[in-house]
Amino acid sequence: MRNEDQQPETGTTAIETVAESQTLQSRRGLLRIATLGTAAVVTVKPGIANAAVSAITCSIPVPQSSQANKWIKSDGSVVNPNTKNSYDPPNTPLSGEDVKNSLAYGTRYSGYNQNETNAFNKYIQKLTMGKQGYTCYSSIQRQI
Amino acid sequence: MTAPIYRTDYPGSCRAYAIDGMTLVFHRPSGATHFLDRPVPEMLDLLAAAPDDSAGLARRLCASLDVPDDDEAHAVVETRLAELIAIGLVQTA
Repeated sequence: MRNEDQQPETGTTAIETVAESQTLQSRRGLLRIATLGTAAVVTVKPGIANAAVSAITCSIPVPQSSQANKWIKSDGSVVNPNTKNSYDPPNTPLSGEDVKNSLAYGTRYSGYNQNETNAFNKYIQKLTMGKQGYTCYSSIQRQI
Repeated sequence: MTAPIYRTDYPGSCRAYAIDGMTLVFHRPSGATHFLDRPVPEMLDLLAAAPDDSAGLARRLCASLDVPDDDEAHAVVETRLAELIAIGLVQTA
């Protein structure tokens, strides 16, 4: 009887040890060059209807959050506050829908005049891959 | 030229769900949905804790996974970072 009681325990320990060494192997495997053949990132492509929704719901911070408290110059560059021809940007990100309307039809951002709107739009048009808001801007471009 | 510092707005501006060993992430600012395989979610967690360059992130990732910190691991981290930049989950600043 005692033997029977002990057997499952011994068995469990052995399984755990195997599982542990397999986990370590798989963790090592994650960081091997061989894994690069497999995609680690798969983006679910939205359909046409969803693409329209994504531009409405996405947003673009002006400037990106790592540059908060900076102003936007008329050429779209990010500068220190009170620089000549620069404007205090919005505290909240601009919505993708507002940006789309402004770029497509020249509408002004609520609470901002034409010069300020132009400066923010130039900033957005200068966004490159790796900047916050770039993916939103690129989805808007496809709709203009 | 100094190495670029990578940062992420994950998990703050995302909804993330674990599904079958992968992580499903909806990124609100871009409105896009991504399936992330390991070690990508782990990399994002580390970047969310502290922005870092590629080498620093690789060292921290190897330490957290308890695997050897070697050139191969650094190359893998660099490639995965490029993929994360392309989908907008990671930014350089």
